[in-house]
Amino acid sequence: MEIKKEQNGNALTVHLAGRLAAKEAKTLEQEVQSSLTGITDLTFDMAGVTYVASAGLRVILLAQDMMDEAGGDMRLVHVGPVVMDVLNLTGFSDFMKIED
Amino acid sequence: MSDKEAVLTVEATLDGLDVVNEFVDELLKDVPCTDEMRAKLDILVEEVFVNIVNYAYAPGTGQADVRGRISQDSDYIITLVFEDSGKKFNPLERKETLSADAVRKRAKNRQRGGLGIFLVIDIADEIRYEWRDGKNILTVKKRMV
Repeated sequence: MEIKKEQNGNALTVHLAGRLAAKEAKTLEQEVQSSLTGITDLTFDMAGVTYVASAGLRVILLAQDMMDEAGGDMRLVHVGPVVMDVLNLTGFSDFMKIED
Repeated sequence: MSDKEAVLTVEATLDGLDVVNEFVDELLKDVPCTDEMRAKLDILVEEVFVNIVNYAYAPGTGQADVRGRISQDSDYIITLVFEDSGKKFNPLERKETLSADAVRKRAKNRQRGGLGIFLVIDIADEIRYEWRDGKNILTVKKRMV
């Protein structure tokens, strides 16, 4: 999995590509834990993510919690069909911002 | 044509998940399934296997066996049997608490439990748990085409 970060002041875009499986979720969790200080505007670009299971969902939820705590804003963009299915099924799409 | 079958013994670790994925890839090599169907199966395999990684032998490690079979008819039904000799654990025990509504409510309240097995139950066409000869045996079936 590729993780590319693009920061502009308080705004951070994390571009993800590949399989967001359990092992990759651990790597992403470390990134999230270490990169969100001072960030109040977070975007996950999911364009290259082919699938996500519960380990990946938990990291996305962790990021959402951190943004909520910081009074910030978070969104997922370019979500593919399989990931969208999972977000719908688990109810994540009810409380997360998902944009084109 | 007879069904295609294969058996794998693998360390129950997160690195082992890559080995299981390759094993499933090989089983599905000649199956004309869509990328989407394949991705759903990946989710199912990950959830079941990571469950073994996280719970069966914790805090130690151990091995898991995976037996796979593909029916050679137009449905291409895949059967995967996951076995481990770890602690007895029936992931379907709390099945009734895993309705879509309940999971969504919990997600909204930011409770993380049960997500993985909920996905397994949704994706699999059939799922069965047995405890036999000191082993956890979880069988999942899914039509791939």
